[in-house]
Amino acid sequence: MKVKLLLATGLCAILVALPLLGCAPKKPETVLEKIKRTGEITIGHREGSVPFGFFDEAGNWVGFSIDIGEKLVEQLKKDLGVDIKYIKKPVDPKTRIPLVANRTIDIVMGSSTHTIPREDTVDFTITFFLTGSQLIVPKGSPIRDFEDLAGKKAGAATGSTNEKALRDANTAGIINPPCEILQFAEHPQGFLALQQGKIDAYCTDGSLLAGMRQAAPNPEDWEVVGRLLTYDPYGYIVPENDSDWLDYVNAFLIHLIKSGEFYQIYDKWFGPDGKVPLPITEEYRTLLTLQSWPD
Amino acid sequence: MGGYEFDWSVLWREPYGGWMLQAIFTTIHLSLLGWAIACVFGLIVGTMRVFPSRVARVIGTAYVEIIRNIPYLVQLFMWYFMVPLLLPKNAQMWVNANVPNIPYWTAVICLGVYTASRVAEHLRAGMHSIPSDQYRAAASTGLSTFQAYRYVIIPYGIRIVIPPLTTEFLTCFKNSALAMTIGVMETTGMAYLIDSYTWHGLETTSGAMLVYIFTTTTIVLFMGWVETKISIPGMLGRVR
Repeated sequence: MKVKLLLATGLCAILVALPLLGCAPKKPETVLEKIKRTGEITIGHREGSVPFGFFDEAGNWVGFSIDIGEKLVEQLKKDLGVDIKYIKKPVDPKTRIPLVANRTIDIVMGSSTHTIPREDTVDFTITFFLTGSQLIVPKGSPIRDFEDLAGKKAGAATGSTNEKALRDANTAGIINPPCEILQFAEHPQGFLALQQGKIDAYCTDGSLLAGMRQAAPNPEDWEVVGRLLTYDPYGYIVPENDSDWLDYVNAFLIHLIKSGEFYQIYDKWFGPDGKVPLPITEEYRTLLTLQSWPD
Repeated sequence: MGGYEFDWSVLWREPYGGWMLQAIFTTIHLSLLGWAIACVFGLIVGTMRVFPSRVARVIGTAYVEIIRNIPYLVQLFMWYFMVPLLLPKNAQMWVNANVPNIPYWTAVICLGVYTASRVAEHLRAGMHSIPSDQYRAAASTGLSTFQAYRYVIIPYGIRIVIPPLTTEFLTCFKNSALAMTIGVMETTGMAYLIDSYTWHGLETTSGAMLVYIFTTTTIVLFMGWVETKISIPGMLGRVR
């Protein structure tokens, strides 16, 4: 009886004390510290964003951002002096924020546009890719630029910056009378609708349009038209308020750009023989140069 | 969740509040129209399945087995991308050029047709549960087969199946969320859209949840009221 009572009291004491222990003021562990402690880094990559992260014909998970991820892991191994396990996790536009916010993923290396509202919940690295909203239309279509969409039907991915760009162009009177915007969950569905004539043009980032056209059964039947209606700078996503980690990744990217390795990776995916041939634009090159802070 | 700061104002601040309201209305009229189609089709098909005519039974069974056995998500894709291909090329072009808001009407038809197959099954079960004496009694009073169904079997059957139909009505409401996969901006779609603009998905999804709970509770209360209203004294079921 006494033993039982003693045990019960002890248990209660432990239960009461546990939360108190947790309350001890402690600086949260930074991502760098965590990587060093666990010897693991979890990077989120896209699965269907050609050529940033996708599955090739052989079923391998490859892409521009995955190559950069591999470089990052190499650099970490060198700087921290420990062996680091590289864990790749798939992310999509719905999951990438919660997974970074709750620190399941240390960095998302995909193809996310850096916007001000998105800064509310996470942080972004420097821009590693620059593109913008353009249109893909059937060859010979009368639509040459966004103004020509007046009264027509245009498609875009739900919640994409491109869909917002179309919406804004409608309100701003750039497209007058406004076009009807049809939303699609995924780019392939939007392209299917374009093939079926459900929409007159599909709007997304120029880089993705180039990939879409390249993947079509007859690339010659389609053309990418229009000026860059918006600028979409892509950045990698890191947890909010961890400036050690953000600075580390930024410095890594800058050194990659300065050493020229970045351009080699760019050529591998966007060069003339790459998955998505897309010459580097003047603005993009200037941006890369200008944001490469001095050592 | 460390690092995530809640900002509930995305649910009402402009322009998102207005969008959300619009989306809630879309959910409501999309589901109600779908449900109306489901009730009409379901009643016809369900009756066909128990009708003495063999042809009617075969058609009714084929409808139920085909439509009920294809997932609704797949059917949405089918109705949106594949069914239009059955039309002649000119008709396709005409529809694409002249019908506004095609995704919405596709979703209404698909939701109605799909839910009808399930409603039909409930009705069939209901009518099967009516003792065969009722059929014979109806026939003995000189009613034709059609009249027997119209005045005796269906009225009894409907009352028996009200509870499962309530469930079906709720499912219809909740299934309307899948319409976002073909770009209909109903409540769930809008919650995800605002999420991608603001990256406050936990708040918008919670908002959508409340909308569904509120509307479905209303349906439950309404159907309970219908049940007591049309109940026949002496029959089993909810009595006032």
